[in-house]
Formats: sequence, C-alpha cells, structure tokens
Amino acid sequence: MSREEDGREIGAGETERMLDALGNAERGLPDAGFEQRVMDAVCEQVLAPAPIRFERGGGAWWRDPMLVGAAASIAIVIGVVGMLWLSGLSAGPSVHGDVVITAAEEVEAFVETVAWLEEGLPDFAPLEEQAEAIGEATETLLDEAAQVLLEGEESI
Amino acid sequence: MYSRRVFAMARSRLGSTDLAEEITQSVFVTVARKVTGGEYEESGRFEAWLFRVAMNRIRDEIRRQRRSTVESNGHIGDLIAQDPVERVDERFGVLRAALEELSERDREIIELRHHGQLSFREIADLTGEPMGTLLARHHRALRKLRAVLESDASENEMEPLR
Repeated sequence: MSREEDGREIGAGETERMLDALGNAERGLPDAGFEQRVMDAVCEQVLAPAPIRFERGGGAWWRDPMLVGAAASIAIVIGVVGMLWLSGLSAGPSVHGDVVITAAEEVEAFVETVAWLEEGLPDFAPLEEQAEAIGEATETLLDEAAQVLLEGEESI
Repeated sequence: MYSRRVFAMARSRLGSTDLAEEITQSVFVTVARKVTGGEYEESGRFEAWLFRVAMNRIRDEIRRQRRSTVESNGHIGDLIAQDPVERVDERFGVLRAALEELSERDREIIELRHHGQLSFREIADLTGEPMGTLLARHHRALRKLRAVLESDASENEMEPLR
C-alpha cells in the first residue's frame, strides 16, 4: 500500500517531509557492519552454538562435548605421530655404511691410544722369557718328585 | 532492511546509538527465538508483529531508564545529550526536540510511520486501533509538531528547518 493511498494526504506537508528525512538519517546511522552484528547476535544466541572463544563466559568452547572430543582426538593423533617419530630417531639411521664408518673410526682411535700408551712402558720381553724358564723348571721338578715317589712305593 | 528500521525507531526514542543497536539485536534475537520455537502464529503479518516486538522492547527500555533516572535524580535528557552522533548531527535537533513534546502514543505513531516506514494499515494492525482513529492521531501529531517548530523558529528569529 502506497503512502498516498493510506493517508499521506492528511498530513502532507513540510513537517512530514522533515520527519521522513529524519527517519532516513536515523536509518543511515549504523555502519556497514551493523547487519552482520545483528545476525551474529541471532546466530550466537538462537540459531547455532557459540563459536570457539578463549575467554571466560557461557560460550566457552570446552563446555561443548563435541569440540572437546575433537580436540582430544587431534591431541592423541599428534601424540602417536610424535612418539613414532622420536622412536625412529633413537634407533639411529638404517643405512649400514654409517655404522661401519663409525665403528672403523672407533677401532682406529683405540689402536692409536694403545700405541701411545706402549711408547711410555718398559720392555717386558726378558721378564717374559725368565717367567717361561721358571715355568719349565717347575714342571721338571714336579715330574722328578713324582718319579721319586713312585719308585719309593714300588720298593716298599 | 528491517534491522535499520527497528534501529531508527529505537534511536529516535532512546537517543543513544549504542543502546539502539543493543535493542535492535535484542529484538531480532527475541523474534528468532519465537519463530524457531513455534510461537509465531501471525502468518502474513510478520512486519507488524516484528515492530510490535520492537515497540514493546523500546517501551521496556524507557521504563527501565525512567526507574534508573528517578533513582539517580536525573532525567532522560541527560542520556540523550551524551550521544556523540546527536551532537554531530544538529540538522534535526529542533525536530527531535519537538518530538519530545508529543504524548507517548502520538510519538509512537510518528516513529512507526516515519522511522519504521510502516503503512497506516500495518500500524493499525500493530496497535489495534481503527484506521480512522489512527489517521486522526497522526494528523494531530503533525499539527503539534508543526506548531512546536514554528514557535521555535519565531523564538529564534530563524527560518524553519528544511
């Protein structure tokens, strides 16, 4: 129904035009985000669950069981992947060449250390010969003693 | 846009942009709740119903303000004067002041008509008044406004606002 039809002629005039202009000015006051804010308020309070927010209040995300479940699932997946990755690191590289190189370096270092120690030690070769001679003499004496004992028994 | 029309009505009555936006949001939340809750039973008359909700919400806010201003020994004019947009936009200052002179019911009709952009038939649906009574009331309100504006203009020896 147009305004002309529904009674505009009764109050037509300067005052009504001024009121229309005032109404237009009032309707034009809100900024461009006004409608979105109204829509957000409706969505937040009526049509949809509250969006995830990290402030205190009724819309806290951790009060939503679905969101908490989703967060827990993501945390578990991340944890498992992390553990697998860490276990892979601690087992060392799977390439044998690296291991061989590492062992060879260690043996070489050990040999060098022994050679260096031997340089400062006395010559044990004569002592070793004397020890061998003592060992042989001891065995001869024991054999002779055993032979004497056997002969004694036979004579008795 | 329904939301801007509700906003314009709320701001005209309450004089505060922030409060008008708050009221508008509250009105649309109420309307959405009623629609989703199956309380909307006025098929075909949504606009009148929406503005009835808005009008009731604005009335509630006015009552709340009156209670709080009585408690603080102030008056609503103080709240209106604090609105920065009001101070900036002085074009309609005299007209707004003239609206203050109208009775509650006359002002509601003016604002439903010129801020809410409702037809007289919709206003009649909304208020429950017969069309003839409504038109007469609107006409009388316009005459009062004109008288206030002319008296203001003659007092200030200025031309009427355009």
